[in-house]
Amino acid sequence: MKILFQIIAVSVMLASCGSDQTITYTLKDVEFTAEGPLFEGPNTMQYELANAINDTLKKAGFTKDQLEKVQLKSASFSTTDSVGFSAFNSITLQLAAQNTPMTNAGVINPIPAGAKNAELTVSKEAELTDFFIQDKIFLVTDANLSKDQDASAQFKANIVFELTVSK
Amino acid sequence: MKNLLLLVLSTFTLFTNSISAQDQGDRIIGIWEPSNGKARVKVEKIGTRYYGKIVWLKEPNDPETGKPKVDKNNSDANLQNVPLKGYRLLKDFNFKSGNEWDGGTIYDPENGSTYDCVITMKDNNTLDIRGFIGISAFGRTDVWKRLQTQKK
Repeated sequence: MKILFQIIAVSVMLASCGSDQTITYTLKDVEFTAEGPLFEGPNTMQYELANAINDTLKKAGFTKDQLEKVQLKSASFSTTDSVGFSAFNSITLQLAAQNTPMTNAGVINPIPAGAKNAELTVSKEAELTDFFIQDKIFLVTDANLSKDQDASAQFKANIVFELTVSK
Repeated sequence: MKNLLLLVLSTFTLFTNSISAQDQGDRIIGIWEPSNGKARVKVEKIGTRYYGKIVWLKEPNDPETGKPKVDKNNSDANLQNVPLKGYRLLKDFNFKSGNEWDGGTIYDPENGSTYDCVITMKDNNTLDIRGFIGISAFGRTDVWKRLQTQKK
């Protein structure tokens, strides 16, 4: 796993709903890399998250047992090279783990011409709690290339999850 | 000394068995073609499980829109734009033993339905893909062929 740095930002939203409270869990500058040469069509990139939300919950005074719901709030991708997204048609984001069915969480298709950032449309139905109670999660990105290329591809992503916990 | 030797031998045996099981499971990795020849599916490993995504479509464009096919039958409106090229229709398979991978599902993009699924490797280049609802006895089997032929 190649990452320059990862910042986990926690912001506990004071406005709570009934006995539940919402916590935002942000993964900043997550790196997805596919080593070239790459072929036209879908290319898979993975990022492994270990014990993802333990610190976040602990700082907010909660435990995993209190986790009620997890949903993807936003996912924004950027490229680190000058070519940008010109060679890519689409990006999808999925979550996978040992004991939970792989789930599609967001997509952008097509990526607008000349885009510097790709903001995914996120699923409103995908319930991700079962992933986050496990020790290891894979964030799986599929990027559709419009033609073969020799160079590697590298994306950076800011991914925000909304955790609902019971008080 | 004798105990130490036994410990080393048993550890080595466990280690080699573990590697062997992993190699056995990885035999499914590759590019496969369903019997209808409409698609090609690349099986790969994520973590310890196996997944298959569409990498080629005989008819990549939707005749109604003229644009690349998308998962228009997805029940989640926000995901109906997911391209079928790249779509994982085989998900979450564990290598059981022998020639079987189970615990997974297969998705039919033509009707948006997901079925339980068991995969049996008949030989290195042939898979029986059995989709079913609930009980494996009531289902349908399709034969998939490996695209790049390996030795039998």
